Amino acid sequence: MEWGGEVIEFHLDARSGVAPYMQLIRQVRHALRLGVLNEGDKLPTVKEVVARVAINPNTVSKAYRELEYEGLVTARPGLGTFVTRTLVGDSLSKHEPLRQGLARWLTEAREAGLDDESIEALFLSSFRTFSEARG
Amino acid sequence: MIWMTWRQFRTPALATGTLLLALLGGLALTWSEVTELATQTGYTGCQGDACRAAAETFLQALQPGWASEFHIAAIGALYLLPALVGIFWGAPLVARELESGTYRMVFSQSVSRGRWLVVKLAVGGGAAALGAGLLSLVLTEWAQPIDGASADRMNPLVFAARGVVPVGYATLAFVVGVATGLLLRRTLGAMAVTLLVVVSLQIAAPFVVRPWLAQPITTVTPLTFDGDFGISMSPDTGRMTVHVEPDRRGDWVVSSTTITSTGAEFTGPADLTRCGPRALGGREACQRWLGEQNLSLKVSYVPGSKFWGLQWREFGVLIALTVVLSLFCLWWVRRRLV
Amino acid sequence: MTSALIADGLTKRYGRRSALNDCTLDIPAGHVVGLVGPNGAGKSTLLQLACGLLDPTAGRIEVLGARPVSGSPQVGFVAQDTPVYAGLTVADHLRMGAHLNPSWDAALAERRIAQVGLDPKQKAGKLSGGQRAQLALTVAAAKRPNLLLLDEPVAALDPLARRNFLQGLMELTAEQGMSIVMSSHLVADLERVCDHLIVLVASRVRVAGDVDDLLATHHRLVGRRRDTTELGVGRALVEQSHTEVQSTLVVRSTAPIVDPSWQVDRLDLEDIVLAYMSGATGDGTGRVLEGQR
Repeated sequence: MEWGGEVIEFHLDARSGVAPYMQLIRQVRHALRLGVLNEGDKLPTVKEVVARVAINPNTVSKAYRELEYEGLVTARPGLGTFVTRTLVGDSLSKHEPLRQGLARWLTEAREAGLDDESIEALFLSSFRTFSEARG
Repeated sequence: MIWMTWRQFRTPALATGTLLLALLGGLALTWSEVTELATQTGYTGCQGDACRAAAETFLQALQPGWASEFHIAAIGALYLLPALVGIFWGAPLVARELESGTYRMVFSQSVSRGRWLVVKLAVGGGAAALGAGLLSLVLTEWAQPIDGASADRMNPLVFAARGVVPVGYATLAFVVGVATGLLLRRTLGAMAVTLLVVVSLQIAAPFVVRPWLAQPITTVTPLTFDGDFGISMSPDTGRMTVHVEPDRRGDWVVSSTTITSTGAEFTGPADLTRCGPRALGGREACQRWLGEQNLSLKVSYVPGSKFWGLQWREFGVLIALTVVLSLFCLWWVRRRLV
Repeated sequence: MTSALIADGLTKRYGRRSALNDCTLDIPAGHVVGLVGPNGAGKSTLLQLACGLLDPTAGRIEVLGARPVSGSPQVGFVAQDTPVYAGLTVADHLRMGAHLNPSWDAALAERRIAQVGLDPKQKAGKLSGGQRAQLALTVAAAKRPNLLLLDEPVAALDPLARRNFLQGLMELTAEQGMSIVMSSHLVADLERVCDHLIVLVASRVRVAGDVDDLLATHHRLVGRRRDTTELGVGRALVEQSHTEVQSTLVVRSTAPIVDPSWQVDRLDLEDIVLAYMSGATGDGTGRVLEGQR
């Protein structure tokens, strides 16, 4: 049951309103983005996750299937689930231009008379609508 | 299921078993005492009229020894056993499972409710029958010289502590306990009700059930008043009753009444000039007067020879009740329990 | 999708009081199904009917395609308050299981007992609530049923014992692949362990579905007060409450809600369940307005 240093640990936030399988996916993606997980690294087995987090095994399988579908991991029968691709490169390099775009938008919003809270509410609701529209 | 039943049952079973073993040990140790005294007093192998006196001597000789103590203890135990078995084996058997909720655990194992109860009834009832049967048969054998000498085994008190009848009482009491536990669903309440039912049964049996089963023989013999008799009378009204002890050694006298020629019970009135404190002529005069009244003694009795016949009949009735009550329990646990 | 449990017009009455009244539902197999609802909704009665402890007064119930009988090797049951034999040791309970179940998995039972740290020689009456629940779960699981029913198994446990119990349960699910139906009113626990949820209110199924779907399709809308009949197709109103100026709605919608006049929030499972429970009590509007005066 002891996990080596090469695998990640999952946790669940019951009050987030985010489906548990989606929370697992996000945690894997996040680890990939931060470089915590690299190509060839093994994800914990379903049983290990279940024993650790007290989560439904179907949920873990579903998250892994989804990650596999996205091409981030691959399941090798009898061996486990392994990372096939990281997200480090493609995101970090694009951060800077995006940040500049966002800063410009924020300036516009201020000039239109919105205060900090209105800007935050507007951003969050647009973001949510946007991401839900894309599934 | 047998393992499970034994595991839950073993503590009360062992406790009762120890008690029985102590009594059986006592009977075994005093066995020689009884047979030796019977020989010494000349009771064993006696002939004819000499037996009456020898028997008396034998019974007298037994009084101070351990044998009579164990005799009384064993009879007491056979009376106590049904109540104990009913209260401590029968009543908690199902009631405790219902009370503590463990029935929900055992009923969700791969064993049907019917089988569960059948095994429990069989093991508990079997153990009760075995314990009561063993003690009763050993006691019957042990007490054979005593019963012969006292000619008392038809006595209702002794009768239920001899032969096969105790087996019937023990098994019936056990099932009574199970059934009340099943219906009341409370151990303590079931224990109390079981005690009540078993004791009433033991009281009712000699007064109601046994006379009915035995179908006593009734005889009417003219009274001559030359033997022993007792009179009770009221000197003012002349109301008078006469008590005559019928000579029915070895039989069970169910009832004995003094009747007039019309067949009604004799209640007087007495001739106050010949009977009573103001009468002249004393006891003889009264005796003569009574002799002139054409009185008879009506005795209803069960002959001692019917001992084993009656034993099996009573046993049969008790076992039949046990079976009926067991079937009821089975039906209840399958259909009505929850 | 095969069914673990089908009820059709299922009714259980005790004298005049009815514990379950005309209940119709279909619980899919191969899932960990959470059965939630307020006290008295009939959850416990339904589960006891499903394992044959109770007989229905009316209606039909089928478990794994057959009429339930107690003593079936197919169905395991962990009763409410997890009763165990106080006078028997932990090892005795396992021996009982071995004697009473032809399909008993002794290795599984012993492994689990060791894993949860139970002393086989300990009398069950001396166990803590959490240990007792683990023992009851072990006995029920080592029977290797196809369907395991649990009636409020964690209700009486402290949070740590609760977590340990659910971990054990989920490990068993991962190993054995059995269907599980558990009733609970602790929705936060169900969210992580269940993949299917049924909300039962007064013997009626208020909502049933996969947990992921329920989370994805329920939204809380907050905005200026308005009439709520204009929600649009594919949207169902679950709960509503209004003040003089503001309306708060819980809406089920498969499509995302794009309407700048509403502030749209996610709901966690507990909020969703609560919305269905309170929405079932009658006209939400009147009740809330009443409360404000």
